[in-house]
Amino acid sequence: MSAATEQPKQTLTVTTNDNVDIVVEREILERSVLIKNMIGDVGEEQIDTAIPLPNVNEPVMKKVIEWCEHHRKDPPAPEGDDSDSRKKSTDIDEWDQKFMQVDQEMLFEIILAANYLDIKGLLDVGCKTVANMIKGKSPDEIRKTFNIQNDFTPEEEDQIRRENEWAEDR
Amino acid sequence: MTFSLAGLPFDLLFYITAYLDLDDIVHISYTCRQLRSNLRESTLCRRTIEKHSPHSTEARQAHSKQISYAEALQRVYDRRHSFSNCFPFSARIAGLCSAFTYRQGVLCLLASYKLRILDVRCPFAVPREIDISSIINSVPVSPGGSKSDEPKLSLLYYSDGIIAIHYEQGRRSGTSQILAISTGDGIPERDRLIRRIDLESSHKLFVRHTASFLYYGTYSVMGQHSHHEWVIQGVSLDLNQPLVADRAIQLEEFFGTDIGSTIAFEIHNGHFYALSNQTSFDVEELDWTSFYHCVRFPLHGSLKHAISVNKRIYRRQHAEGPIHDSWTDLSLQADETTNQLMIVEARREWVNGSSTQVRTFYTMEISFPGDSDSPPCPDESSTTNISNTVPLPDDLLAGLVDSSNNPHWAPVQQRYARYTHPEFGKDGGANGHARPFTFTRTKFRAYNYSCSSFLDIVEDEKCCANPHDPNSSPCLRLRIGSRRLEPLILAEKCWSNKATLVGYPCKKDDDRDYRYSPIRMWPPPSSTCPCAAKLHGILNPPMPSGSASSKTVTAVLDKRTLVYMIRPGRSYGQDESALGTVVVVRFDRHTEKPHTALRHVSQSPVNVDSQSEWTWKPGHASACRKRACG
Repeated sequence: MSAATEQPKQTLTVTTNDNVDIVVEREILERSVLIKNMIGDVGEEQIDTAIPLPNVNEPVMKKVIEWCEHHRKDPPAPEGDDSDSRKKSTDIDEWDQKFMQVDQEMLFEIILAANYLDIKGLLDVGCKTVANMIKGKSPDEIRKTFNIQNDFTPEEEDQIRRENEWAEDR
Repeated sequence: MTFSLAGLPFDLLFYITAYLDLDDIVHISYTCRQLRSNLRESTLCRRTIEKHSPHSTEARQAHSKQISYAEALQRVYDRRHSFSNCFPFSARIAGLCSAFTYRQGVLCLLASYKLRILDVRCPFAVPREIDISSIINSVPVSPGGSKSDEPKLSLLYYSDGIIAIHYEQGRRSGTSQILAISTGDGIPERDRLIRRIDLESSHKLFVRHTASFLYYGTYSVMGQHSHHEWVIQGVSLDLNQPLVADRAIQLEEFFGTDIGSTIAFEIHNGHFYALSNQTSFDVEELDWTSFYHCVRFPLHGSLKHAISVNKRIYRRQHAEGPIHDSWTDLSLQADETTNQLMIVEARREWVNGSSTQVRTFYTMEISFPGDSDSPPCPDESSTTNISNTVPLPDDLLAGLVDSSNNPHWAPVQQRYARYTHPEFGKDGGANGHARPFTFTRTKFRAYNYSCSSFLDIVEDEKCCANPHDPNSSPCLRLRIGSRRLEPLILAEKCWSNKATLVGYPCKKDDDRDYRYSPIRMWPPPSSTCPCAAKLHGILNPPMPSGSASSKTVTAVLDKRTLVYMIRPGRSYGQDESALGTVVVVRFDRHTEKPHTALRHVSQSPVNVDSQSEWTWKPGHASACRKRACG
């Protein structure tokens, strides 16, 4: 902050739902469209007030900030590219792959937070990661991966799934 | 509160599924009730269908609101899954005939001068009968033939409510015609004949047509090298869309004579395609590389500059090992996602000169020089002029090439897993213990590109063999092997909520490995349960002319149905028009109303009793276990 040529980096405070204040550079925090719009709404003068984030807890917010910091110089996500049929879930850069090596609860919380805070790039990486965990698996394998309880009755199971019980005969 | 996949809000599930394949999405919906109801949401189903299967029949039905997108998704999945698991939804005997065609869900059976038209998709609808005797009798008898010669009829092709029949009377200089007959409902008999085409030659005759244009080809024109070549001719079936007068196209230096093994012809997307896997008429002494030769032209409009040719679609290196030609199958199949026509070829090779043969199903995209979205093709001119301009390999034998040779060479191309499906899986290991069948026991072979599965109809001696009965004949059974993409991240690696995600073996070029299913046989031995016994009766119908030691099977397979005709093997002096029994095996789920209705209206000459049809019902598996499935 002492360098005369550099503008002092503006910081903001956010309060997570477990009542922790985190101080972050404004540029990093503005990766979140939600926060960026909030600042726009309240005006520059009120910027000193802490921003409450009732949907995110501290550990998750720290992860989110870590991601935003790494991606602070990314160009803004292009609008309306959802229809692009060629987008691939395997296009994740190495840093993001490592970043996403967290337990599943954290993974889903990051996705929810990214959705709430409107950080498209992070939401994208999170969803791709989940998609990659599903790809190519059988229903049983998906259940195992995500610890899903099979709550179908045997009758319902009969209706929807057909397994060739004779299959192993040769 | 813990978060899980099932607890995610719908919009996030919608986001995640954008990255998934059709099968993956259905598999998630099979895990629990919550996800099942979320994933049947219509916008999500619509997006999935439009992204992954926009060119399927199911997609068309959903677009025209005949079915919902959720149903379309389920049906596409069901038919692929049913096929690749070798577990059809139904099988039945459709009737007796001397010839049949099956296409677009419509089965045409010919017996004497009567055509029976059955919509296989509505199996309980009454078959329509069309008497074509007046059309047949109206064909003038040529001077060379006499009325007493019984004309020979064969069914050439069916498409869009029109059937093409080949009429032939008298051996030499007799009458030979293609009759294009409308099979539509409620058309007066005198208006059924749409077009009559006189043929000079009917050698290797084939027909491909749409509602408006009919193309037929014969192997009858003398080429430059003083051997025959294919000539393709087109006519219009629609008065409103006439064709320019002369539309005969000679396929020059287009080698191969056997449809289904060395050549394939198909109409697709307003174009006629001809494909060959032969590079020369004779065996070349000095040759390195084999290419596919593909020709494409539009069905109507000017042909000038409109004929595309590519003789350099890479096929294989001769050094990859000799091919057992009898097993070679060649077809063109449209991709349901891209609507692109794909080359699908099965080859049984002694790979790298080893002593064991391996059958592999190869797929390849078709491209033409100048196509905007195609990869750059090697310059066409390089193949037409030999020796001087053809690049030759760095090989001792290259020095021996002289003007009498016509060598072909291209550098070795990498084979990607997605284009290469070995019958017995990777390294032959996955299915190493699967039972092989000899060529004579394999009565029909096909590949279903839409679900990466091959199907053989085999004669299985071990299925219900009764050592005490010398007359027991081998059972006809389906034999299916399939593969699908392997999971990106294996289950055990990301199991448990707390474990960290380890390993991220994403390959950048997207060429993922495959999982190979065990090769499966169907139906199970008849001793398994009552319905298995019934299925044996349907798939091995009694021969109309008593028992026969050898059987001839002719079959047609599309994405959802297998139709085959079985008749006594042809022996010397036997009547060629002997009747055969037609069996229909369906891999799509029945959606029509229960079949008790309409039963009494059926005029079918074949007694439609409960022994000639079998349909899967929910609860089937447990009924079979209790042997209460009859």
